[in-house]
Amino acid sequence: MKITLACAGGMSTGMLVKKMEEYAKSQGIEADISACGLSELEEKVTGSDIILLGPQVGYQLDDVKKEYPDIPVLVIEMMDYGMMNGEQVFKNAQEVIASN
Amino acid sequence: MSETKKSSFIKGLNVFVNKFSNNTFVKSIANGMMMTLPITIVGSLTTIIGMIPGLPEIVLKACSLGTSISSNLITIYVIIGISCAMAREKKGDTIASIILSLAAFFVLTPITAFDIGKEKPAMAFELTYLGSKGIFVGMIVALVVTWVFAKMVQKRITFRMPESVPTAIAKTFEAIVPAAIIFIVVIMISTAFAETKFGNIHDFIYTNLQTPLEALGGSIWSALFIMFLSELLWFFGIHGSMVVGSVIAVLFTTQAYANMEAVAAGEAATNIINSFFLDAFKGPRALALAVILVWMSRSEKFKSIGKISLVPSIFGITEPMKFGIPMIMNAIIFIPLTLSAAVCVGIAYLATIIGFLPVISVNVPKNLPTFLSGFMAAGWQGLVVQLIQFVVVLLLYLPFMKKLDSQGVAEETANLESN
Repeated sequence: MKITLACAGGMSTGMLVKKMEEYAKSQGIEADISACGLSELEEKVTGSDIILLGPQVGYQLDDVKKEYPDIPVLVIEMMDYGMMNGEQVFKNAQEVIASN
Repeated sequence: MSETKKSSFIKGLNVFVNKFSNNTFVKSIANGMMMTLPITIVGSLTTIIGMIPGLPEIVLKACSLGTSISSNLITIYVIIGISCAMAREKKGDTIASIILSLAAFFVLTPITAFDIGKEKPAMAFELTYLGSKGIFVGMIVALVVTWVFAKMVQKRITFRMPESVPTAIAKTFEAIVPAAIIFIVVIMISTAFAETKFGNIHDFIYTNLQTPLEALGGSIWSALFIMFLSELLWFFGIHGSMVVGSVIAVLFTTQAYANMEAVAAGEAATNIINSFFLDAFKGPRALALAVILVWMSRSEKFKSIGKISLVPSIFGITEPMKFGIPMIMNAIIFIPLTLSAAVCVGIAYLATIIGFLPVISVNVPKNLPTFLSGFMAAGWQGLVVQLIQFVVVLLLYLPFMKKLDSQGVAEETANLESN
């Protein structure tokens, strides 16, 4: 499973990636999770099962969807983002991937 | 505002911000300027080293070389960056676009004959046009040339190669017709400008566009307004600094590089308001808020957000607090959120006016830890100014955070009792 997170510079999403990795590891799930800035998304996104956007760049949702019609795109919930709730975000991503 | 009105307003705002920041030209300026960062930061480092008193002459010379190569040729780097960003945006040929943009820029830039006391005068480009004074022409040329080039290739205004020709070779030939058309048009423009009283497009743009824009950009009021605007967008959950980045690039960068050039030439920098200044002295807002959360709040929720945010906040990362508290659409926090950056810039501006803070002429990396960034940008005075900003922001946030905190505590006790 490959999950790509994007925000403005890939820094705050980078923090969330660590938390998500911790959770995935604790569940024994193999996952390739990475974060990047929106401008680098094109280089990083190949092969991703889902794109997660930080809420602060949520206004880009429609364009990202248009750019990658084959990959589901999700804006992370504000609260989960603020509390760096890696578990919840990972579960939400899993759900979307499973239903896709 | 009623709920439905509120959400339709936010939707409208989202659409507008999306349109603005996804505009090909705006996006290319922002991304292209970002690409020039490494060289300007390294150039700034040599400036900082050169400021150390008592250095031997040879080290000073070496440092000044570093500074001048990054500031006196900044327009060349800006052209490469923006042309590359625009080519990616339009899915055009990057290298061909960069070469063509540079060529077009040089066609438009006057070659001056300098009498050097020999039989033949030396023919040269004047450095002024390649440094801060040329940034505008450089931006315009890179944007327009790359855009037109990509359009022409898409519209297949080009030689058609037979199918049997390998793609790599066909591609080179495909570029010839659009390149020739652009090149000829640019030569015509350059020749036409030579006949006007301005003599070249640089002096025309400089007088009619850059000088008025610099006056606007150079004013403290526009700087304060942009700081406010950027934070106001954050209030609605939109990454404000990312959205206004290209506006800042257009309004405030030429002054920054003019300062750097002045320092490289051994003169004094004069533009107080510039993009380097704004980057370094937007204020340690994140750290001040994290400190309040960790040490002054009693609510468990705020304490835990503070713990998550403390270390990142030293590097200026605020997102966990913005979404965790949350500060987004939170009326109680509106005043400190939207005002603190402007207040900080105001403090730094006053400190410069009274002669305490030197005029900023170096570019420090954006995510350098708080206080270190002030020190790098302006020595111990920069550190002191950031400390003052830190205290002021802390005091500005404190009453509002206290209110939120007591609400948080009340909620937590209510939850405990109902359990």
